[in-house]
Amino acid sequence: MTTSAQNVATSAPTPVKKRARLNRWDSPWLNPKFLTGLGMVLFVMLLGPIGRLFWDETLSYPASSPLNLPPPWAPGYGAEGDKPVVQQVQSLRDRTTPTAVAAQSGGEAAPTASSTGGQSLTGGNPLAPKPTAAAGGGSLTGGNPLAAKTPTSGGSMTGGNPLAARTPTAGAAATPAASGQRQAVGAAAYARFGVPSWEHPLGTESSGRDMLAVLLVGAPRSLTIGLIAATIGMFIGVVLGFTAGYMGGWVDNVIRTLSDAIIVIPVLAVLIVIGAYVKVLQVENMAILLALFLWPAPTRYVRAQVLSMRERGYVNMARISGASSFSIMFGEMMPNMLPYIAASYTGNVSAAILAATSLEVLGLGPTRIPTLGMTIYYAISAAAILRGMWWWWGIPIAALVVVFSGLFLMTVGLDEIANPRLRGRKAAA
Amino acid sequence: MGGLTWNYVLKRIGMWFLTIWLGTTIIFLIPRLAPGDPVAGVISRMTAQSGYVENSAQLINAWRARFGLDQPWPVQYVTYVVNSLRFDLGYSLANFPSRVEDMVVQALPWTVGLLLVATLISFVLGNTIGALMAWERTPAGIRNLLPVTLTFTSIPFFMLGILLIYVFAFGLRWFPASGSVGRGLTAGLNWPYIASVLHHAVLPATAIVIASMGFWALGMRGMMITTAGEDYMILAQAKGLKPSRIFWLYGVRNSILPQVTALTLSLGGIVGGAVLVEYIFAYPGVGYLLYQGIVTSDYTLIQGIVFMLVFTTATFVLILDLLYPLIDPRITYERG
Repeated sequence: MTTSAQNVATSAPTPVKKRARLNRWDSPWLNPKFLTGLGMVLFVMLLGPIGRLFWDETLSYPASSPLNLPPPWAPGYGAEGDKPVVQQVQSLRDRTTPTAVAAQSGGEAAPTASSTGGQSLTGGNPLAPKPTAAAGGGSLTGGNPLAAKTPTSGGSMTGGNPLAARTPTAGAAATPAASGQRQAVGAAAYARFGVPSWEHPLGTESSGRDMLAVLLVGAPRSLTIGLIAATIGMFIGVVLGFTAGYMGGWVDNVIRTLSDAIIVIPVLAVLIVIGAYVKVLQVENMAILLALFLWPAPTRYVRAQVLSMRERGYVNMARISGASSFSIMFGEMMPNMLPYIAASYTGNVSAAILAATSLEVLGLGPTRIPTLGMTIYYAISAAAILRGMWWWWGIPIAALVVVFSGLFLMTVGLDEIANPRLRGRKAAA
Repeated sequence: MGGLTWNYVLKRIGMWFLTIWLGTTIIFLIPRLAPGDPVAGVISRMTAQSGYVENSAQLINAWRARFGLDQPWPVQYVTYVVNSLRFDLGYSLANFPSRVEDMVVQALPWTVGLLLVATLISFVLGNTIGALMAWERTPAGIRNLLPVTLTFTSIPFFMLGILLIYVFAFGLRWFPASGSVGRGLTAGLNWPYIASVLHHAVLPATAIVIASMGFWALGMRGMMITTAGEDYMILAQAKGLKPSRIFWLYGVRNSILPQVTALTLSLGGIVGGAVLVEYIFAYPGVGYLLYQGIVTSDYTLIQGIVFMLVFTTATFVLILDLLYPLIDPRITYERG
């Protein structure tokens, strides 16, 4: 934690350097962790409205884009520069089309991969990573897969371009029987890696969704579920927590017992039952369902805080002055608990997003609109991990990691705002 | 142990019953509040598969009678709760002759083994890291290294699982990507079998450990900071005790208590997260069974498993609560 804090602290402007006591930049709310986290969350939140201006969101619908196209920064994708690769692919296609192999394995790796052309590629694609994984031991992870393949395919090649190196093998696939054929299939699939398509910067997946569009549509939506659910849950929690802590007696007993019981129940398990019966879960319904399980934690938290605050001087003062219970609760106590409540809120948003994503990853999410969790579900059910199509599951995971890390940083930052001891410690260390 | 009064024990057992009762009630209510009729749904799926089901109305009625759905709600409810408490979870809809409890019992050892080991490791590791982070005498090298281990805190179990599969199963081929044991091995206490089980468990366990470790570390760090300011720590230093003794017996010993409370609270989340880890790794535990139940619309299986999850979680919390006075002798439960 300390390193990240220091990194952020050095980049943060005034508050660290100036040590003036009554500096207006000295507010505890200018916590670097909190602000960084807020920035990360806002970034994802704004992906939708801003991205809409630059990118066509309708590409996130199935079959709107070619299938299984890797992103341009994938290994081997346009590594030798765009133009020559296109030519190499062209020559590969010219040479392979006469042979039977090419016709069978989808050798028409046309640089302008249209929707129908992409369709035929799916047949050859599952085979594609297998030769690499077997021969190169996962050369997809590091380095250029084409370069890795070159030595195995023999040294009779002329050009330095790995794609050129592949071309004769693909053409001469008729001579050696099985292995050559498999290599040709691999070559045809790799040829697609050379297809420069800035039309799909993050690649596409098996049902022809453009991953960038999916990201733009899905990421804010996943975040929205969390925000709605946490807001409702937080509202219930704060009200119940205040009521329990302030009223005491049997009300307190009932609320505490209930929250103690519900907090033990595994949320995801119950949600799975709901999801299994209610086949089509809309985003809003999902958020409300999640909220039903998010209130116990804030309730406990707020209740404990209220109990400790109830006997403080300023609360007694307000009571003696004849303030109503309502104004004591929300006028006197609430402002003092704001950082606590906010920390609990960000934690809840994170928990709600996690629960929603988990449901979606199990295939129980909204199917009509792309969300990040559903994308991961599709990727897993299409064995994208073992096919090496890391962009398919990697991009939604990356987006979720940004969201989760951002919320996590916010929670930690808010904890420091609420608990000066953590802050003081950091400054000393 | 003086704190463990009968009153406290009874109260906790009461909470345990309440939790399980709430769980069963929710599981009972959901299908009845949800639109559509599961039995009709099953029949309509059969119709879709085979084109035509003879006397489907009769079949529906027979099934409804078989599952007691023709009785009024209160009767159904009482039967359901009583059956659940007797672990009579009914027949699986998808694999009809087999009973749900048998299927769960087969899968349970895998889940319990994986979760227990992973949670223990992560609890111990996380708390040690957190304590070291807050301690003044920690060498600077370790102090700077430790926060790195927490970078994964905010990543859910299953995402880490996917990354681990990609790197270690698909890329490096060090560990198997799925399953719990290799093929063609006879189950038992022979070395190849155990080795295979361990080999398969490494990745899922690592996913759980790495992802949950930071949670404990952060909590522990906060507690250690609070503890470090206590008078008895200064006294221990003044007495000239060995630093390691101060660290473990004075610092960690006093900071660990809220962590145990946190463990009881987060158990539900760990169980839920493990469901997904098992799904990702195709680990044949309860979570994977649950996923299969979802895929095949096996409602009795889903309900049975969820009941078992609620039951086990509540039981673990009960055990931890009853053990708590052992860890913290100061606490007496005379009042509240």
